[in-house]
Parts: sequence; structure tokens; C-alpha cells
Amino acid sequence: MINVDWNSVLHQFLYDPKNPLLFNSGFFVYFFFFFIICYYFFRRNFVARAIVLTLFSLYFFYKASGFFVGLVIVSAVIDYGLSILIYKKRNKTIKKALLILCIVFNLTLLFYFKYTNFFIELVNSFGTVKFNPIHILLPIGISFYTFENLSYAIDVYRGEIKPEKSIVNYLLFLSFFPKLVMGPIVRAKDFIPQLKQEYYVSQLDFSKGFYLIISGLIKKLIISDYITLNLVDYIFDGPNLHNGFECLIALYGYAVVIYCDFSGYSDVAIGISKWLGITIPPNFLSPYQSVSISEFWRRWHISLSSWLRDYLYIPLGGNKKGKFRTNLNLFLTMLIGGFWHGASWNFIIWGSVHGLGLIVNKFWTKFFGKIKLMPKCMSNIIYGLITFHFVCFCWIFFKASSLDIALTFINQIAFNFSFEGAGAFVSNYKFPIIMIVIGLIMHLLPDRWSTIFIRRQRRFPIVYHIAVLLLFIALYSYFKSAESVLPIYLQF
Amino acid sequence: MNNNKKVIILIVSVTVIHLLLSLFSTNFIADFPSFKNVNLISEITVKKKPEPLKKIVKIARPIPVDSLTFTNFEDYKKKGTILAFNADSLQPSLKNLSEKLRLLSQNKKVKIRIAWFGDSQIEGDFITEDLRKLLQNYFGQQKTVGFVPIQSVSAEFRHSAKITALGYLKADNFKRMDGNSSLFFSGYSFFTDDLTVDFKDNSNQGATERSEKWLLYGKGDSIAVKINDSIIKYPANSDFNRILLGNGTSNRAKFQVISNRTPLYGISAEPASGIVLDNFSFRGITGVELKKINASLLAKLNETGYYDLIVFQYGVNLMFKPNDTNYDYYYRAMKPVLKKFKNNMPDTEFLILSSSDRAFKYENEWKTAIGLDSLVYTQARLAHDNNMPFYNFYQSIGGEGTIVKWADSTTQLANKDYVHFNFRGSKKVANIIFKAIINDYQKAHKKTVVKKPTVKAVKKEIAI
Repeated sequence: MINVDWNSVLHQFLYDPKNPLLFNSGFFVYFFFFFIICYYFFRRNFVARAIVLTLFSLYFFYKASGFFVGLVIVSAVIDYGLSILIYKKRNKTIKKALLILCIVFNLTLLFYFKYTNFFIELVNSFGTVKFNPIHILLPIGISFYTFENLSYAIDVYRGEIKPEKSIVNYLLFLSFFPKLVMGPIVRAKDFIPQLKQEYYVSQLDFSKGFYLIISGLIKKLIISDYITLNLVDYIFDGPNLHNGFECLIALYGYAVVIYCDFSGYSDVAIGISKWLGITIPPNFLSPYQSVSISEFWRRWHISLSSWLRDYLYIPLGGNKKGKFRTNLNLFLTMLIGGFWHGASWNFIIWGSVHGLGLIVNKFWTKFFGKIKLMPKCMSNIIYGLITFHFVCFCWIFFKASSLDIALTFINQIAFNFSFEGAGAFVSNYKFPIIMIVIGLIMHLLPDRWSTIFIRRQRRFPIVYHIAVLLLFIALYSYFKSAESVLPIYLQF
Repeated sequence: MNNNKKVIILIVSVTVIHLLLSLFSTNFIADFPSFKNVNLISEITVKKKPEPLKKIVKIARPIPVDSLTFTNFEDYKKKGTILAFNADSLQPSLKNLSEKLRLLSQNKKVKIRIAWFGDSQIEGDFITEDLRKLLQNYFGQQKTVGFVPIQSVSAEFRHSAKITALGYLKADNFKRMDGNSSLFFSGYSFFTDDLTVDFKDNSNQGATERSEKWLLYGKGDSIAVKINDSIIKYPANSDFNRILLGNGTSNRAKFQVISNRTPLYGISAEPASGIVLDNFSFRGITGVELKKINASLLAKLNETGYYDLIVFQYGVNLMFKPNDTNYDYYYRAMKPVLKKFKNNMPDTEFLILSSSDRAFKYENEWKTAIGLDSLVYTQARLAHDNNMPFYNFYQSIGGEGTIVKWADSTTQLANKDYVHFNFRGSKKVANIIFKAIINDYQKAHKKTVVKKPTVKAVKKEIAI
């Protein structure tokens, strides 16, 4: 007999800072169950359907981030109003002033929550005045919805779209729960029109959604989490305790982790959206298959890189103002892009090094692009390996908790590389290493294979889908309780 | 064809099956225990209170001494205090150290040398670097690094000293040694047919005071050392030998050495008088490995009065299984090691630090190892039975849950392996230990101590 604790039941409906709502929370199963029934029930009434989706999205936001849900509502109302004003005003100066007001408002919010303490530390480092850091929690998704707000207002200002009449649709555009926490960054002109269409899921959409959700969850919850907890965190926390070989393995591990984590979340978001009849463009296209750094940025976090291109690089002048300005624009765009990821010098360095990489890449293509030294397949392998290792090098700054740790990590690989103890290391970390290999192999498989599989899967019966989803739950339960792999330096 | 109905059917079917499995999970949980991680109703059912851990501690407890100020065995749980069991708690537990510190505080020319044994927690001079600075600052003494091995796995990231050794080098160590090799406290001994060594003490750069740079080596045939183009051959008849490489204001020592059959140990940078704290870290050990250090070396060190205090800081490597609670085997293995040290070094004081906190994942949550209390008890018992003072390091840094809190805090103090302190945590820990040492010292000398900077002031300086 099940003895229900009704206090716990009530508690489940409230925001718990220790257990924010995620796709892998038990509560999400109930949430999605009730949501999909309501969504289906109101499928023919676009307004009611949008209201249902908005209410569930806001509730998801509340369960994930508490009363910061108010921030997204306020932000939506202000941007919605300002965009209508921008559209209605005929005077260009007033339009521009309103756009600037909108940009300042959004960036102020972002800066306050994300960058205040970074700048306090910066001022303190000069030593003339000292400010105490402020205890500020970062509202979930603020980096994403700030960029969505900005792109919307700029598109309206540029006359590329008309402002949305329904505030519900606009609020939904910002708070749409599948992409709320980690993106992708969607554009209003792509998203909002789909809210006014029939709830239609083609056979291919269903199959693709299913594939993306399952593969995304495997990438995020099984591969990424397992390697992070059982190898990467140990070594990145104390690179000084490991030699260059061990640090290098951890770096390859992190390359798999960051890809699986980020693209896995995006895939789940895109997959759920597909099942709701909403198409969100792909955010990752096997980025480690890139043979140049510029190609990498066309395949990695596409929604961000295209946003930076359209709303930062091009307004800065793009490639229209001479070679020097083009390179400077490229560098600044990447630097700011790096800073967007987090308030620390490491992210600034990460973005800057990528910016420099893109500049070198441009020169290389210009001078050596047409010279054929070897067969294409050979050059693709060599350039692919160089690109991958450059990206990995940059990940050191992205992952390390401080510049000191990053430099130690590099120092260990460059000057303390040794295979001493490699046997014991591999034997101790065999499962995380197997995961890394699986992650890399999955990544290197040709994209067309998944396309073929998704097409074939269309004809599979519903029982197959039920069985696979249940199997995934079983697999997840196993990995959630898998005994931690202990750090090797405790064992030899 | 619109497949939106298929979405509903799939979600409803899977949720219902999942819910039914959760409701009837008691029927199969024994065969599939990990299902508890995805049980949909586990959060809302009334939970039975977990039964308290039954400690398996077989070693008998000593009989309490009936006195108000005497330290009983049960006092081992106290935090922040260095205890000498069955002794007057108003007196310092480290009497000789305390006395020598008093002489130092009166500007007498004495040298205090401490050997600090540990595992990877102190690798790279973590904790000991800060503790050394704190002690040297407090007593206004010259800052030098003490012992640095010829080669170590942590040489690259050790800030307090830099040593580069170019040339062939064969190393014996606790884990891999040929025959009856004479290992030093560092757990290493080195042999070379030609080695160029460049040593730099970074502990007080820019200082103008003179410091002694010694080359330490063991028993063999002889060694040849070349400094500034002159080669001198030295005998190696004794179990412990040292050569003065330099005695100037420079913090560097450069030399060439040939030592094919004589074990080389390392370099010691130290003042003529003051405090020397040697870091002896060896990754992954528990202290039992110290049995490989020859008794004759210990006796020789005792004879020369080389060490005033030897500290043992071990424990985290004993907890390699999350559910271990019985450390009797450690008691049995470590007791003869301590006895060997005590018997061969009767003029040296000893101090046993308990294990620090370390955590494991229990039921998906990182928590202090369930065997930690039992391990600390075992270590206290080792200290008691070998008549060595004891310091409850675990309780002093905060006790249960500390390492989880430190690793998960915004300003991280420990690594995510829930074992190692990072540089910030090491500083904090060094301050805690420093305070305990000073409290012990002040027990006897409160009245006679000349005015020195306060603990707070020294801490402030070290924080900068």
C-alpha cells in the first residue's frame, strides 16, 4: 500500500532551488503529460492553444527559476510595447531613440544580473576603491531571451517584420519552455507565424522529433554527465595532480562533454518542438567534422553565431569597410560572443582566441586555399585534426574555473607530457574513456546515416517508440546510480 | 497524414506504464534496484527514517582518567586542539616544540625543523607552504622553503620552489624500488651518472638575508659534486649526509652531481636559525608505506637531532570504498610503523592528524563518507596507543559535510573530487592548523611571550 505524503505532493508544485525543473526531473513527466493533453485538446483554437502553451511555459520557468518568471513577463511587456512604438513612429530619429532605449533596457538587465560582480572585481583590482561583491542570482535563460528580445526589436526597426499584435504570442516566443534554459536562440519571424498554423505533425516530423529527443537525452544525460562526473571534473579541478597525457584525455573528454551537453539539450528542445508542430532550425551540425575554424562556427551553436553575425558583425561594418576593419570586426564579434557565455576573463580569452583563429583562417584560405598539396580526403583529415585540436585548446579556457587553472592545464600538456602510469590511468578510467570514444564515433558518423534512419523509422509501429522510450528510462536509471569512478590518484 | 495523435498516444502510454511500474516497484526493485532513481512516486511517499549507522569498531576504548584537566581518550572528538592523551590539557601537547618556539620568540639562535608527511592533499606544497609562511611570519623568522626533492610529480606546479634536473636519473620510491634501497622521507631516492641541477627557492624572493642550501644524500660509496668548475668528491659513509652547496644571499643553487651508487635525496634551503618545515607528500598513500624507510636512517636523524617534530597527515586514501566503516586493518598495519619511528627517534616529537573530510555519492547526493568517524577514531586510537599527540583535523575544518560545502560553494575551496582542497581551501586549512599550533604553544608561554603579531594580523598578511 502506497502511503502518500500530501505535504510533499503540495511541495512538488512549488519552486525548489535545490531541484529546479529540468527535462530529466521526475516532475517533468507529469508536467509534459498534462501539458500535451491540454495542448491537444485546444489544438483547433490557436488563441487558446497559445495561452495553454504560454501558461505551461511560464509555469516551467517558475519551477526552473522561481520568481524570476516575473522578469521575463516584464521584459516581454516592455519589448512588446516598445516594438509597436518603433513600428508606428514615422520619424527616424524617434524610431532610433526608441530602439536604443530598448537595447539599453535589455542590456542593462543582462549586465546587472550577469556582469555586475565581474566589473566590481575589475574595479577592485585597480585598488583605488573597493566594492563588496553583490549576491545576485542569475535568472535562467536571461542570456537567451535578451538576445531574442533584441533581434525582434531590431528586425522591427529594420522593417523586416511587423510587430506581433498578440502579447500572448510574444510572451510565448520568449518563454517557450523547450528552449528556455539553453536555447536555441529563436527569431520571432521564424517562430511566431507557426503559432497561427494548424497543429500538424508529419510522419517525418514525428520520427525526427523522436530521434532528436532520444539521442539528445542520451547525449546530455548519459554520455555528457557520466564523463563530466567521472573524469573531466577531477582533472580540470586539479590539473597539477595529473601529467600531460591525463590532461589531454580529459580535454578530449571535455570536447565530447560540451558538445553532447549543449547539442543534446538543443536536440531535445528541437525534438519536443517538432512534436508540437513548431520547427526550430538545427543548432549543431556535427561541428567537430569541420575542416576549418570558420566552418566550425557555421556548425557550432548556429543560432548564436548567426545572431552575432546579423546583429553585431554586420552592424559593425562586416566585411564592407576594408581588410583591417573586417578583421577587427571579426575579432570583436568573437570576443563579445565569448563574454556572452560568462562573466570571466576565461570566456573573454576563449572568444578572443577564436577571433584570432578566424582571422588566421581567412589569411590561410586567401593565400593557400587554392594550392593543392595533397588529395582532398587527406587534406580534410589533416585540416580536420588541426581544427579539432585548436577548438580543444580553446575549450581549456572555457572549462577551467580560473586563468591559473587553464595555464596549469596547458603547462601540463606542453611540458609535463608523459605516458608514465598511462596503463593504470586507462584501466581506472576505462568506462569514461569508452564513453569518450562512443561520443566521438557518434559524432563522426555521416549525417546522412541519421537521415536515412529517421526516414525508415517513420514506418515503425507505435509499440517500437513506446519500447524505446521505456528502454531509455531504464538505461537512464542505471547510469544515474552507476557507482562513481574514483580519481586515479587515490588508488595507485 | 497528421501524426499529432501519435504524440499523445506515445506520451500517455509511456507515462501510464512508467507510473504503474512506479506504483508496483516493490515487486521487482530487488531485481532492478536502479529503478528507484526514476520512480515517479518516490518523492511523494512517506519515507521510513534510515536506521542509524552501526559502527564496527572492534578496538577497545581506553579507560578514562579521572581528572578535571586531564585529557581523556574521548576528547579526541574536540576540534581546534592538539591533544596529548592522559596528560594535563593546560600544558602544551608538543612540549619540546613549544620550548624551542619560546627561545625563538626571545631571539635566541635555534633551528626548529618539522617533517610534514602527507598524501596528494599536500602535494605541490599545498597547505604546508601557507603553514610554513604563517609560522615564519608569526615568529618573525626568515622565509625559506625547506626540503625539495630532486624530482617530483608535482615539481611543475609547486610555487614555493623550482627545481630542474637535467640528465639521467634513476628513481626508487615507495611503490617501485630495487632491493633494499635507502629511501628518504620523501619516499624517493635518486641515482645518476651525471645530473645538472638548478634549484630556486621562491619562498622569499628578493630577500637579502643569507640562506643555507644543502644537498641531502644517503649511504653509498661517494658522490661527486661540481660547483663553479671545481669538482669535489664526498664520502657517503653515514645513513644521512649533507653538503653545503652555498650560504649566500642568493636563493639559487646550481651544480652538477654524479651519484651512481649513493642515494640522492634533495635540497634543503634553510636559515642558520629559524623555522624549517619540510613537505613530504607522496600521492595515494596511507602512511603504512613509511615502513620502507630504514630504521638506521631514522636513528641517524635522531642522533643528529635533525627533526624536532614529525607530523603524519593521512586518511583520505583509506576511504576508497564508500561503504567502508571498519579500519581495524589500518590500525594493525600502521601501529608498527609508528612504533618504528618512535623507537628510533626518541628525541623527536610526533603529531598525528586525523583524516580530513571526503565525500561519496550516496543515493545521488554527495555526503561525507559514512566511515569517516570510524577512521578518525582509529587514528585517535593509534595516537593514544603510541603516546603521540593527536589533532582532529576533520572536526577542526568543520566536520560532516565540509568538503561538499567547500567544493560546491560559489567561491570554491575544494575540488569536485570531494577530497582535495584547492589553493584557497589550502590557505584556509593552513590557518586552522596554524591556530591550533599557536594555541598549544601559548599554553605554556602566555606570560613570557614577547609581543608578536597577532594570529589575525599574520593571517591577513598571508591572505594578501
